[in-house]
Amino acid sequence: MAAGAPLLTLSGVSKHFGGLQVINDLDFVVHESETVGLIGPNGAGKSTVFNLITSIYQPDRGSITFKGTEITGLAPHKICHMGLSRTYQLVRAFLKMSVMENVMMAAVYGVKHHEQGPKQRAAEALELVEMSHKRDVNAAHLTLSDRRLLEIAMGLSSMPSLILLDEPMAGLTEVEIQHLLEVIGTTRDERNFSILWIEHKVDAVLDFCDRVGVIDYGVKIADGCPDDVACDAKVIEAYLGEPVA
Amino acid sequence: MSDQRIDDTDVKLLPDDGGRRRRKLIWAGLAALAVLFFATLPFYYDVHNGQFGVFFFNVFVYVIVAQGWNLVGGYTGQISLGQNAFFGVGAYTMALLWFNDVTKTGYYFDPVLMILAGVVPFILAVLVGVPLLSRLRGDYFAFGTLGMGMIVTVLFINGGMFTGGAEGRMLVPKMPEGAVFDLRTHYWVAFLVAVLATLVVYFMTTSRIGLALRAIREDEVSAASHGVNVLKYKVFAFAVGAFMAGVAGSIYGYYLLQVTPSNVLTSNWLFLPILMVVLGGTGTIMGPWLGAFLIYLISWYGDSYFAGYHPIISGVVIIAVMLFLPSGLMGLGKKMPGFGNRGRGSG
Repeated sequence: MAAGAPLLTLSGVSKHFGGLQVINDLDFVVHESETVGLIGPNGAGKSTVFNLITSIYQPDRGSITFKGTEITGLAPHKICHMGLSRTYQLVRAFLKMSVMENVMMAAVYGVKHHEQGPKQRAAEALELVEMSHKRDVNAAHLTLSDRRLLEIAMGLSSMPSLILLDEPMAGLTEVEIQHLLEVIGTTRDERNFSILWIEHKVDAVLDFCDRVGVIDYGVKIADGCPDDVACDAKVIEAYLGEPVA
Repeated sequence: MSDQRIDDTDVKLLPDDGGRRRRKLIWAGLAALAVLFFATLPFYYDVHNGQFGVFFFNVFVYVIVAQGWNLVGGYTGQISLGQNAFFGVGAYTMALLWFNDVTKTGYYFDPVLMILAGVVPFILAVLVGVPLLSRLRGDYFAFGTLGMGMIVTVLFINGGMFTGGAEGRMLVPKMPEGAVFDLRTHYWVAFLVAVLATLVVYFMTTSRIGLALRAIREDEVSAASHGVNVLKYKVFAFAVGAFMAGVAGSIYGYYLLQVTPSNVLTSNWLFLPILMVVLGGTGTIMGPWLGAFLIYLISWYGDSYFAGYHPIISGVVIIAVMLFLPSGLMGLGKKMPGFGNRGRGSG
């Protein structure tokens, strides 16, 4: 897929917690209508990248721009209003609220100024993830895979230009993963947004994404089309360890 | 395969949903009956001389404060320990403006003064709430508001000629000529405001604002990443709660006709309303009413039959409720069907 103009740009971003350098001088770009994977071994700093983009953490150095505007240190709700939504690795849907209330909440407070009212957008988002029949169920009663779909619907309801998916397949069964991939694929084709996808399950990302970045110990060690990245010596080393000989 | 799963969910959840709707109707009917009863009570009961007049008046005042706390503590999840300060500031706002005859209206139960008695705590809550709520969370916010309450109390005690110090302000001489102290007026005003406060909380929490407040209660970080301006809504809920406490303070001030730090800034106005909300059911619309009636009933009868010991009874009731009904009296309805066979509470 031909990528458009740069949508999200990270340049020279660094972050440390105490003496631990989590992200070191990271440059990364997501273009319009592009699906990008970000992989790396445990503790490589993948989730930290998301928390830096969505302003949950402030970077020590470097800048992050979205749609050409500097968003480093901007309040999280303002970043959401610009059209950037995210999901969480440990699902953070509102468990005491019903499915519809969750999505309505995201639709009402998400991106402003739409032709459609929030009710319509919420209903449509639920339709896209095939959860309409569970609209009155409390989120606490959903299975993990339904909660993940719910979070995606919450993201979709605010009509974002970029969705950050934080390990959406962690803890799901093979069947549930297939369903999730289908849903994400069809909604992406329909809405034409960009995706930045953190995943631990490398094979799924390699199949699904246009481009894949690999980070290890906070440093980007590879960035390119999935086939090249999979054969990259550094990547193999990061995942499997140094070769013996 | 997935159809099977969907069917199971539907079977399990649909009756529950119908039950919820039915319960809602029952509550609405009961509430309408109760409103009718209390609104017409003074016509067939001597509210002014009978002891129930004072009893209900006090309950209504407590309900107003409790609904305010319910909004900020129950629905938004921000444990404020400053309600007595807002109550006192409201009472003093009314008393000092009346005492110095600032508005020149010179009549009893001045609605302008009552609204101002809400506006001043509202502004105070915004001024205090912005720094506290942007910096402090959870327990730390609670202690921050407690500190604010202490500061306010000391300021009023040491207010000298302006506040009247520890003796406060005597308002009896300021009564307009010909005005008669009739508890019926107090009863109706307090009841009307209690109903209004309940309606405000109801409509705020069932509207879009309520979605944001409940989302903040559950997960602030997630709410923010879905576009909610968390600080704005927290401060708003805090300030509306302060407004209600302040109006309640002015109503109580009109009843006492003497406003002193020891009767309007006392910790009673802090802990009892919280207790009422928790006992009745935190984050429910009728919980504060049930809690206020029960707590006030216990302390009322306890005071007359076991004078000096009655806090023990209140204490035992509170411990029992927390043990067996952690979600308050409003949680009882949901628990009823399986009451006997739950491990907890059946022993």
